[in-house]
Amino acid sequence: MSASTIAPGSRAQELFERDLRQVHTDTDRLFSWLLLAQWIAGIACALWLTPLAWAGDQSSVHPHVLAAVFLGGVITSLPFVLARTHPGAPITRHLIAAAQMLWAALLIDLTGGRLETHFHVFGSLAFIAFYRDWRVLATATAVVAVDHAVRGWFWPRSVFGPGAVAGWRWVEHAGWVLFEDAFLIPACLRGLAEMRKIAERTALLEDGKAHTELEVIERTRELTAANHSLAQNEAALRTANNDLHAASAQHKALHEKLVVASRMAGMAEVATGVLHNVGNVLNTVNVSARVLADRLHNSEVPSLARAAGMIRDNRAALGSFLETDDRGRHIPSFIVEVSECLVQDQRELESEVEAIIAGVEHIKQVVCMQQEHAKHKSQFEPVNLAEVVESALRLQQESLSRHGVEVVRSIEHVPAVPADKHRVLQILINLITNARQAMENSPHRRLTVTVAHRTVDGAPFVCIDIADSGVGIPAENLTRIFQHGFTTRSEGHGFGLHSAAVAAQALGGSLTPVSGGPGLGSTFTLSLPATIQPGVTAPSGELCTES
Amino acid sequence: MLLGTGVLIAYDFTPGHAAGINTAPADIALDPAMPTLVMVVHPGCTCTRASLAALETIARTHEGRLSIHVFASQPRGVRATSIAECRQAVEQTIPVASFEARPAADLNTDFQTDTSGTVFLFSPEGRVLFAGGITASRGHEGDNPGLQHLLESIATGQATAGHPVFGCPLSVSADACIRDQECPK
Repeated sequence: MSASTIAPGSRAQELFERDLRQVHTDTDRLFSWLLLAQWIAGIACALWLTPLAWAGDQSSVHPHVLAAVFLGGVITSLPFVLARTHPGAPITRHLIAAAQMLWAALLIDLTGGRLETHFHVFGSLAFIAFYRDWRVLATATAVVAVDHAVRGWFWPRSVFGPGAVAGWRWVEHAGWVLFEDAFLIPACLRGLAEMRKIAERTALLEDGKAHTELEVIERTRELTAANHSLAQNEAALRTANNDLHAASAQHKALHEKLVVASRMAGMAEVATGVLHNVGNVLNTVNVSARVLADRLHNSEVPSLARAAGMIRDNRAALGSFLETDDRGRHIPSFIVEVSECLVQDQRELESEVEAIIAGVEHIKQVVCMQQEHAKHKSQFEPVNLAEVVESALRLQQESLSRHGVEVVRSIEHVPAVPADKHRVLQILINLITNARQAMENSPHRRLTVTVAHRTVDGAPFVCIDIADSGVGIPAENLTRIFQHGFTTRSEGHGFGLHSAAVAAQALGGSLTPVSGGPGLGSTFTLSLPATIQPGVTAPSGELCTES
Repeated sequence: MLLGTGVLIAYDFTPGHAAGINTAPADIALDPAMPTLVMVVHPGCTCTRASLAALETIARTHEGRLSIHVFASQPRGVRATSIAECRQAVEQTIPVASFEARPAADLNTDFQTDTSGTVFLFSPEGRVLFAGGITASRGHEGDNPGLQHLLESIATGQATAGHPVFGCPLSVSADACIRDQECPK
């Protein structure tokens, strides 16, 4: 980039001039100390090399010492003062350049014209190039040229020695200085060009920075506004939070009330369930008890007692009575028939008594389960589902028989599954009771119970199908049938299927209804995992059989 | 500054008094086989260093072909150590040279010179081949016409022109005569 690319008065030009002025100022200050050092060094050199001038046996201060002190002082003083008081001014650096060249001449003389001291001239020129001002180099070169020209003209021996030299010898000396200038001046110009580049880049950066700062200010303003808004929102949130805390406290109080109310309601619901379950079993027990009572009422025991009375009345002539009397001749065969009837009655009564005992045992288990539920305890154990199915059918046998229900079994040999036996039993009693009720108005009443091993979604399950030939379930009710309180019977409560479905889920299984529609019967399938499912815990709660 | 420069130049480039002689003094032991070079110096003069440096170069380049004698004056104010230092310098830098200190008056009588740094080159027969200084100015080393003439005389055995002597006066009177420019011829 040339100087012309920087517009006059532009920021880049301003920066360039500022930096260049700084370079001039710094170099002036550097030279001020160098001049001072040179002065001291010149005096030291004179004192060391030529302290005294001798004339016979008398000595005096050598003129070199005086020259170093006074002539060196004159050369140094003005540029030194200007460098300290007017650093950066053009006159300062031009005077410094001239002083450096004069110091070179003085040092050469003080050192007896040593060839090595001439290097001071060229070193000084390089140093002067620090100004990056070719004009200063021109001044230094001019001083050298004029010094050689003037002294060469008027006193050639003082600069070229005592030998005769041509009049143009000063040109040769100045030429070597120009030779160095030929390198230093382009270096100065190159340095200036680089400074201009730097100035232009700095100006660009400043411009970018200014834009960035404006952007930052704008964004900061926005952020401040956002912060203000956030503060307002925070205050609002804090207020809302306080309200929420208050509401939470109220909610907590209400919750506690609700917990109490729920507990009471739960207890009522559980009590209802227990009563239903116990009630169902009591129905069975009641039926068995009635059967037992009927059997006892219709027993042949009184007939046997009458026969025994006739034998007692005719004990004295028992033989003739049994052989001759019309009633006596029938007594032996009568006793045989009565005994056979009694044996039959005994068998049936024993069966009914067993049913009553089983019912009472189940009632006991329901009560125990409720107690365990209250303690949040339940027991998973390997359960043979075929046995549980048989238990459920046995408990419902009298009821099913009384309603003329044909029971069909299709029970595979399945492995024991981990489950709560009584909970499964309650589910099955509910389903069988539900099926029996669904078939009350059906001409053909058939209950098909199937136990099979199946795979659902890759997992092994044992499934129990309770299929009836009853009224069936409309499609729209299939999704509602397990809802709490849902029932199609006027005397129903909607507890049985709901609690059965809940219990099936608690066991890690499921309860699903299938029906072809009204009049086509229905099938409920209880699916229980053949192995313990992760996350399944011992179930709690109780079941209610639909009544 | 111009005045100072002028004074300095005048000091450096004003030659001393050296009338010169035509034949070697009688008490100088001339070498019959080679030229004899005699240098007269003031032991305290700083200019002597430049003259001895030039003489050292000549001695080194003409070893075995030149007999060299250095005579130092004995001014009263000059410390004895200065003469000893001068002797040591000669012996160290120019080992082939002999060194002898003499009163300035004797040197003035023998060599008709009162300026430190005066050099004489005598032929084996005692004829003066060169008489003058061999420095460009006071205390300034380097090539100069006096040195060239001396080397030419050594090389050819012929007499050459003399050269001004830039050095300290060997005596106060000589200094005065230089200042007043009334030195005896």
